Amino acid sequence: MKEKRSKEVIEFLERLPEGRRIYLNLGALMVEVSKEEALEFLRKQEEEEKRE
Amino acid sequence: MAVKRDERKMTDLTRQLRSIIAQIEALRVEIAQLDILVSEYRQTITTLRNLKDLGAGKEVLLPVGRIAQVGAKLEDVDKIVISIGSGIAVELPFDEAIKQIEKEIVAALALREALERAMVELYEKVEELSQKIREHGHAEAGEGEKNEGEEK
Repeated sequence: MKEKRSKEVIEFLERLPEGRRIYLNLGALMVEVSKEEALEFLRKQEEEEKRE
Repeated sequence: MAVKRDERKMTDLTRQLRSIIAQIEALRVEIAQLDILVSEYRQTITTLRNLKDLGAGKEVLLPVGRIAQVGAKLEDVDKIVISIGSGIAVELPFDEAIKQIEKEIVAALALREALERAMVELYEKVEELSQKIREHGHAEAGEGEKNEGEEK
């Protein structure tokens, strides 16, 4: 379920038009990241989920 | 020997019944959580619409922890940052953001319906098992009376 959710988020981001701001939730902080950085983060997360 | 087998069957039926009741309880909790989620999403839509109506430049109070608030000026309500899951939030134009929240509501309601259907099925199983337990109880009672009659 969680894995599917990551996949959905990746698809959502890939469809997102350029120029939209993207943020990464890090604890209480929200850090602005580029689309590539966000996708990279999600792919890593997906790989970790698969390993678990 | 037969008595032991009957007892084992009764224990087994009761255990199955308890397990199903526990599953129903878990589903009930999950449904209640979904109801809270949907209500929060609807509240978010209302709040966003109200903020947009108030417009930029309005003074708002920003909560800092549970007890304090600081003043802030509302800037742009045309762009909303929405959490889309997996720790990612994206900036969306107002209407798109509302649509995204509405989509989440639809998904949550669909899940709620599926859980409710599962609960109905479990209730049917409870009814089935209760019937079996009753029948088994009657059969045991009948057996007991027969044995008493023979002893007399």
